[in-house]
Amino acid sequence: MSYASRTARRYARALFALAGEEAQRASVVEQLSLVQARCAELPEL
Amino acid sequence: MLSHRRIAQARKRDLLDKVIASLDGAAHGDGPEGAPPVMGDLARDFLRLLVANGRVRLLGEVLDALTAMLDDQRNTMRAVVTTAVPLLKRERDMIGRKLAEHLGAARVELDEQVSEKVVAGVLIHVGDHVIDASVRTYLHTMRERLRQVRVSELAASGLLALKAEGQA
Repeated sequence: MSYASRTARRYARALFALAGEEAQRASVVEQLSLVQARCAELPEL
Repeated sequence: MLSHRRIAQARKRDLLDKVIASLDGAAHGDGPEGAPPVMGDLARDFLRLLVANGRVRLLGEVLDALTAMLDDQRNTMRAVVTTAVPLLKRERDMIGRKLAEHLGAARVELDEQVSEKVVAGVLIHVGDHVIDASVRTYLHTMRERLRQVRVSELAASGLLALKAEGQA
């Protein structure tokens, strides 16, 4: 596993713990997915 | 753009805030005044942290990991289902239910794909496992079996005689 993947997992674990309950975790995933989709529409530099 | 090195942190943060504001605006364009924002504080702060740490490019991998952890918590599995034509709702429900029973999962989320290559039937990928009930594979298997049949066996079965009669 690459350094980037390990780092991403660390961030994910921390956020998962902070979100606490299942519904809140699902909501955060949904919100971040929306941002990711919107960012994908931004022009590349 | 958010992960580009030549763009200053302050500019990236402004850009992120605009992305978030656009999502809130899109969600509440026709909604009531004072509706809660789409983005909660936790997701917003997390994104700002990624920007501040220069880790925005990891967002996709973070989301993959989060989804996997959430699936584990919910005892949910994900399957890629490929069919020649789009599934009907009752077919989708049935496949999801049968897979959940088979895999011992509470729920199976289906990622549906349509490909004419399967001809008919269904091809299912769950993790490293493949359930192949496609006509394409059935025809391929039949062709391989026919290749292995000896001429003497065809003669014994009477198929060659039938062909000879047809040509006469």
